[in-house]
Amino acid sequence: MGRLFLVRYAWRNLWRTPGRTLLVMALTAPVFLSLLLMLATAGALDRQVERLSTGAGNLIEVRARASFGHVNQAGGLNRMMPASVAKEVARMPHVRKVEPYAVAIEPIAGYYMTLHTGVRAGDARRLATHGEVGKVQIIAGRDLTAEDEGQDVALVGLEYARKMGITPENFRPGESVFIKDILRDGEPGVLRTGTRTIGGRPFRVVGLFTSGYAFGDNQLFLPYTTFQRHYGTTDTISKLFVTVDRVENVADVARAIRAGYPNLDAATREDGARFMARALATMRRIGNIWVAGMVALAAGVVLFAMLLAADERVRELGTLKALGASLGDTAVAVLSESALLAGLSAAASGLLYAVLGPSLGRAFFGATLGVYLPGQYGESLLDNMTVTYVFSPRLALGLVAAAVITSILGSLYALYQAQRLSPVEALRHQ
Amino acid sequence: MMPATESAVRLRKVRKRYRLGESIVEALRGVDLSIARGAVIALIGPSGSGKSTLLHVIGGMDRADQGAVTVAGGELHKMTPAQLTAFRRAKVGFVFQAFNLISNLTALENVILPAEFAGAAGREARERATALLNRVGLDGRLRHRPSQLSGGEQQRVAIARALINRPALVIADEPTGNLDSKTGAAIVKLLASLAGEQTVIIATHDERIARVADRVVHLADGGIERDETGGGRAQKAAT
Repeated sequence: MGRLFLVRYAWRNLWRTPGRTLLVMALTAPVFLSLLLMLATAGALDRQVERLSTGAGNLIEVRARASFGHVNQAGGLNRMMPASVAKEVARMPHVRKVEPYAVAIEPIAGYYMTLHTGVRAGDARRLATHGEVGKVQIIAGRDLTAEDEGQDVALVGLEYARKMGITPENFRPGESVFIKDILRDGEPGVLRTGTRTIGGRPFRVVGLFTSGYAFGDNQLFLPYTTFQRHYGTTDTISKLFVTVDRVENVADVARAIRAGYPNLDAATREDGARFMARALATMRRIGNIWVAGMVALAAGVVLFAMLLAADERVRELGTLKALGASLGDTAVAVLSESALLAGLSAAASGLLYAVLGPSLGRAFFGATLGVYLPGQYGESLLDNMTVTYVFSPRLALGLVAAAVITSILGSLYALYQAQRLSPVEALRHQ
Repeated sequence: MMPATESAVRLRKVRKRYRLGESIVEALRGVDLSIARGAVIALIGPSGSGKSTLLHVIGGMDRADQGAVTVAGGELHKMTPAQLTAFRRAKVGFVFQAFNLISNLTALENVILPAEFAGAAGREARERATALLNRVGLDGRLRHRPSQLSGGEQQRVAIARALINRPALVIADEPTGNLDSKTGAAIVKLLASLAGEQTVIIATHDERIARVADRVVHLADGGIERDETGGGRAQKAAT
């Protein structure tokens, strides 16, 4: 069939009434523009939801029930976990990573207590008691590495270092210091005797960190195996940090840990992240409804234009049918005209988006999804999201899909009318 | 009547009714008609006599309610709508009173249109369309749109369009109805010149067509009132 010919015919039909075609474009291009803006925003929301689901609130802290888990603490608070728990939990569904920690509590000069934490290279340096809040930021020297395992090296908090006379200004990487110099004697009944072997050897300080918290800055990290050697804890661990693949699965994994290890506590912090992820996902659904609404609106305008066109060309359609146009031919003619009309509008909206998108994006977000959030969250969320109102292949694909759906919906009734038209009736039409 | 074996068109007891508001109109009342291949037939009758309905039934644009319609070997009364479309495409060329050219296509494109629907468009169809337009005296008017052509020129384009797929049958409904007498005479002459190659059936009030037709069928109230030899046969006999 001469289907390409029918597309050319459809193109010319559009310009029989250029005023109407331009009016339809003027009405539908802004609709498609808002669709593009929403698609860009929705894409950023998707990324934000994904980031929250996979990177926040998906941590479970496991330790012996009601225990601090300090390797050198006497009494009922020093229960430890078997080291095998780490390997077993790592095999559970949805578990992305396990990080075993070994922690010792030490009294230091000035009636302070400090924590010595053994941690593997590559694992996060989480400060005890501050959890996710007290994040380690290295301000001098370097972090611990895999090559440091077994070596007498330490990553030291700023306050701890200050007590040893080390400041960021006078810090010389690799300098050996006797950590013993600042440790004071253990208090009977609190610390087990014979466990403080760390004090007797010189350690090289490889880096200084700060956490923004006085207690956090009073702590020290050692390579995991170094810690084990000094404190004699080869088969036990103090804590296990379990990273779950997505925040939605945290509760299931925590439940499995509690069921498998009744003597362990599994503390989760997923509620905040889950709430935010759900809120964003709800906004995403609102965005989807918006996109569908825009397509329906554009289709409505195209539908009206196509109805007018079909009504004006009843005799012509009858002539085409009398001359042997099949149902497929008339369908191609009507659909092509609708698709070209929607395509022109979509192309115009693409141009508008390329020019105006970056400047309109923030206002659009505020006027659409932003209205569902308290003012300060709308702004901060937009700042926090990596939303860029530039033309991307994903947006182009979305625009093409919207134009195709619009053209199909917009042509349905005209198509129905054209298909049911008998050539005799059409030729009688005046 | 011509023997059935030589018939291009054969109708047996064809009936067609229309609903017109509350009433039923008997457009065709048991029409029997055979038309020989290559003949030029004039259907003559007053408005409402059933001329156009008969043309539409013969051309496969409308279906008879009763009776058998055989055209160019095809039994139209047994065909599905899709088969009727294919039949029209391959076997029939239509010429309308109002020309019915597609306004945003050129004369050449209008002529090629049925070939496009038949899937036969290409260089050959283009050359044939050009030759047909030359034959009807429109060389130099190929790129003109209908609005740039006179009524007579538009009807010539319509005749060329009717011939592009080499149909067995050309059906013309009042082809001179919208033309002045001089232009109408030229169109009559052109249609008559098709005789022999195609069977031509013309519904008309125009007596000039009756003079060039091989046969004149007079219709009244949905039936054949009179069937007589036309001037065309007498002319052929004389030559």
